[in-house]
Amino acid sequence: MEKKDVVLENVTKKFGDFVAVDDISFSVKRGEFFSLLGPSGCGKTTTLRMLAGLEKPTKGKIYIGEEDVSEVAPFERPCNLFFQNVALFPHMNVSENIAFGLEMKKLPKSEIEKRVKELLDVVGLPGFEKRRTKELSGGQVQRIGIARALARRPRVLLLDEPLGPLDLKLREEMMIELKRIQKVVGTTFVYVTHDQGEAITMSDEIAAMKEGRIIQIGSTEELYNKPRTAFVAEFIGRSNLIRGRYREGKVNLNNLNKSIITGPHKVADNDYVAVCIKPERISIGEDIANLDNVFEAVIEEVYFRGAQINYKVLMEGNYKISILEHYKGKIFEQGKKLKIGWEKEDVHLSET
Amino acid sequence: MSISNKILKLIRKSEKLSIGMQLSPAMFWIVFFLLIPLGILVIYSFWEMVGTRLIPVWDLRNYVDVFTRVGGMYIRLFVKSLAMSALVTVGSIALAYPVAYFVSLRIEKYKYTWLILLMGPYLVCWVILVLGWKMVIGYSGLLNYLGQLLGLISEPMSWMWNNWWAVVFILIMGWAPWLVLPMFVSLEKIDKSLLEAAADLGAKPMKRFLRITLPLSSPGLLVATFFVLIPTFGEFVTPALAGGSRGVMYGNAIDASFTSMMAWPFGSALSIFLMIISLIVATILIRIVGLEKLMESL
Repeated sequence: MEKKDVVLENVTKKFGDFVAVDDISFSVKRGEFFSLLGPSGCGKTTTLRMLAGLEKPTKGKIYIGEEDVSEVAPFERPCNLFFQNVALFPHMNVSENIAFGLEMKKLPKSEIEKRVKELLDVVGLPGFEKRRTKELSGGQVQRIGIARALARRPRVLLLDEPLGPLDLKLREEMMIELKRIQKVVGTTFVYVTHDQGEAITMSDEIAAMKEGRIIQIGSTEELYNKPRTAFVAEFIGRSNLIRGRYREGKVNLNNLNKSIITGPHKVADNDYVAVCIKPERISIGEDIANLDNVFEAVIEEVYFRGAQINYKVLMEGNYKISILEHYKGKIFEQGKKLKIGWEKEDVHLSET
Repeated sequence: MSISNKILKLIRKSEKLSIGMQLSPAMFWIVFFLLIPLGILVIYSFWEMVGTRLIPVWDLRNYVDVFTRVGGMYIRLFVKSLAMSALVTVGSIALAYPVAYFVSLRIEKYKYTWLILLMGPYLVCWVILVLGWKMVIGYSGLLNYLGQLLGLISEPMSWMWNNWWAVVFILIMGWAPWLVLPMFVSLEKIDKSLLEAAADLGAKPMKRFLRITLPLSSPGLLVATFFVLIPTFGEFVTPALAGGSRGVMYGNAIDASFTSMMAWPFGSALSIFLMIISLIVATILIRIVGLEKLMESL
């Protein structure tokens, strides 16, 4: 069996009457990049802070590397936290920052120096030992923060929205960098974010959270293609959702006296469902009659993005649908009436 | 067009002149109440006084006197005062820092109410404050009374009053509440996530304090030093009231030369010497902290 680095068993956290985290359980495999994804206030940061030991769970057990850490102080836990604002010590230079955790371990000086150098190589900033923290750029601060958090060779590295303060370009750069560093050091990462793009780009597994509960756990692809609920579908990959009632391989729409052919699904007849279709799976055109599902639509907005075109269309029954198409030299104009359609295999049914 | 209009137009045209006009009340204040008296003091320090008459002799005899008069008594008094103010500085910081730390990091509600309450002693004037302490630690004060009542001592302890330590003690007690403010500001500015980060990296509470909190609050400590050290150099009220003959400080010597001794030029030289040393100390402190940080903490 694979080793688990993090296990949460029925963990609940209350602040007064407010339930921040509501009876969640999950486990993270060793060496995995695991993301807690959800909107702000969903309890993801509280979960992370409980892992770090900065908050105590009201109920439940937390294991890190098979050790029950529920009663272990933060400074004795085999995990380190990468802070949202990085929190580099402003009165220390780069090497003093990275060495801090090692000095607390009372390692010999020569070993500390060696490790600092090694870490600076890992994060791609060799020779930065003597730099002041003020002299670092945003991306460099992040890298040094990661080096500092990895210095003590934690079992698990906890990251709390580390890329939040960065601009888009730098964020994309750091996503790739983070994933690279994670692969190089092989440490288990638990990553908290509200940004589905970050989660999808880096994670091996994602737990989607809402209102203190975990809605779905699974691989990135699973969450993307088979969102369990409408919430997950909307949050990840910005699916189009059309609500209706399932019956014998079809979903009868709420707003329209028509149905979407879905093929057989493991859903009880007459259940309310959300039909979830990814923007990139929908075809748009004047002549697409050979698809399983075809509807009339009017183009409301057109966004040309170079390689892709994003159409916002109003489908019959007043459904707003987003479509992503590869640009092949043709753009439909705003206001044009045409048809949109998709195959039944491109449909996934989620709980509403 | 009238002449006043012309002048107004001229002022509006010249930016420098207009700024100068706007600053003029402040400039007036500084020139008349600071620079001119100071200038007079400097001039006097090169003169001589015979009886009640000031004679412009223009030499350095008064400055030589600072070091040699009465076998170097004044310069020894100066060194003693310096040591006393250093002691007061250390003592009041030691007393105030834990309070600032507590208010900043441990109290969550009504932080500022606590700070205002700390300022309570300043509702009474300094003289009353000193005399108040006399009622506590003086010869016939509360402590001696209680000690005798409880049979702990057979006669009043005289060592608590009229000596240099009484002066140091009262100055510490008087200054400490003030110092809470700059140190509080400095502690408040510390990002609490730095302490969490330190804890996360394995630092126990004491290590966190020594490695993070203390160094990051050092600007506040230096501002506090600035606050106490410089004014207590020239302190003369407290030693006059609580120091007796053994608790005399340099400030009292200056006071005496302008009053009982009738030696204004010598007193001026004493003052100028004190001012020069204070300026040097201030410059060193500002160099250490940096002027910007100093101003931020005020």
